[in-house]
Amino acid sequence: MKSRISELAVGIFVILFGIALFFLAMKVSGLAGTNLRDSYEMSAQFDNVNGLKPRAKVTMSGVTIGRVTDITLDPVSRLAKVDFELDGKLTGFNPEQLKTVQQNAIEELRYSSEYAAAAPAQQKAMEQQLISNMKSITSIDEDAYIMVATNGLLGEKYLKVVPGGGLNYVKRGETIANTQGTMDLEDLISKFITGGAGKSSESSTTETAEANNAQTSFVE
Amino acid sequence: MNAIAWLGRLVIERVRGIGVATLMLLQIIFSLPTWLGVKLFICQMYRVGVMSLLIITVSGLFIGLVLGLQGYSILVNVGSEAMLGTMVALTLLRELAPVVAALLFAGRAGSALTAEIGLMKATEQLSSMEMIGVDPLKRIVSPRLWAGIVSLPMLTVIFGAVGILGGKLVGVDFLGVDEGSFWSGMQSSVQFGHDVVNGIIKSIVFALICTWTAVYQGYACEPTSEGIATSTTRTVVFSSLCVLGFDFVLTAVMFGGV
Repeated sequence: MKSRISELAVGIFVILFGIALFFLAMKVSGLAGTNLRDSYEMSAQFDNVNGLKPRAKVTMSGVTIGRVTDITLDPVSRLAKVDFELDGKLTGFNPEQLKTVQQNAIEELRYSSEYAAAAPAQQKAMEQQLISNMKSITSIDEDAYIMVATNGLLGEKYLKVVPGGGLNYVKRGETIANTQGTMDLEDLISKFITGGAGKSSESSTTETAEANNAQTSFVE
Repeated sequence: MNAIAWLGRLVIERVRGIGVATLMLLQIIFSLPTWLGVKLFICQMYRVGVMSLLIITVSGLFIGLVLGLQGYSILVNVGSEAMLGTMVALTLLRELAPVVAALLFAGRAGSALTAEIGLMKATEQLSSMEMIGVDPLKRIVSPRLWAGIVSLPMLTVIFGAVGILGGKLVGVDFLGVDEGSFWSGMQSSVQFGHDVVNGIIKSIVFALICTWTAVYQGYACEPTSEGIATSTTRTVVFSSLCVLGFDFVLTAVMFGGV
């Protein structure tokens, strides 16, 4: 009889432990929130990722869509390469939405001069190619850019995807070309103090891969 | 000359003690489990783990309450009382839960183990067991050691959970910190793999230290009433010091880098 009671008590003890562990996992660490469904890797190169840490969140319009997995330095370009994984459910289209997107893309194609100049057979081929190109696309368009943002004035750094208005979409596993690194408050202040506010502050926030900007500054 | 000899003897005795204790530990860890062993283990789990539950929960609750109170009164000065949840959770999970639970465990269960085994030795129960062909290491020491190693990590997890609830009780329910920011701040800063799991690893190490010290001190004590008293004191002192020392080492390894 005594052994039965002690067995029962040990059983309750184990259950209590289980509840406590579950509580720590779910409620305290928020483990449920970090499990990305249907996740895939993407990467981007930044000129400055000061303050960004692995496991920092990636957001789009304020919704967390992924986590930073790795930050490395590319020895050739000397830029910081950030790998992050994104939630496929949040950043992908469902079949119906995909159809609309494809429709839009084909319509866009039909207005292009190349399409008009091509023979009907070629037109068919171009459409086919367009559709096949749109497999495994994400909802991030090619004009979107990704930046290292700060949560509040003193908060932690995270990645922010700002969608653009493009009709072409980035595929899974590709890199996002348009980036903007950390904006160092000290740099801005020192530039402000030394007086070169107009020109040099602009160069500090230049988006590393934005070809247009680079060209215009060349012309000047 | 005598002093030097005394020093040498002291060192030899210490090293021999560590050697005997290690052999005992290895013998226990690498012995095959038996059905009787499992039954004895459950019985010891009840005495070592379940009976420590009350002291662990109550002290966890009060430590959580105090953390909530102190943290609030400090953080409210800087206007960042939303960080209260983060502070309470990280302090508890990383440090306080493993260490305080281990110290309490050493006092509550470790001393009892030493005294029990020591008295068995003093009344020659252990030798008579050997006489009738029962291995006292298997029958007496092994279930107690395993029960300690298994139950302290469980107690630590319960301690941490209760402590966080205590911090929430004071911070959110009494002092009026926003509940949403309390939990979300906690969730964004606590990483399961990093904080919770490392806390559990710590407490497994502490459990090994505490129960190992306790059973060895009991097994190797002088079979007199004074010897039992010394061994029991030693158990508490040694395991407390080892826990605090190893805590520093483990913290340096786990959280020191990066």
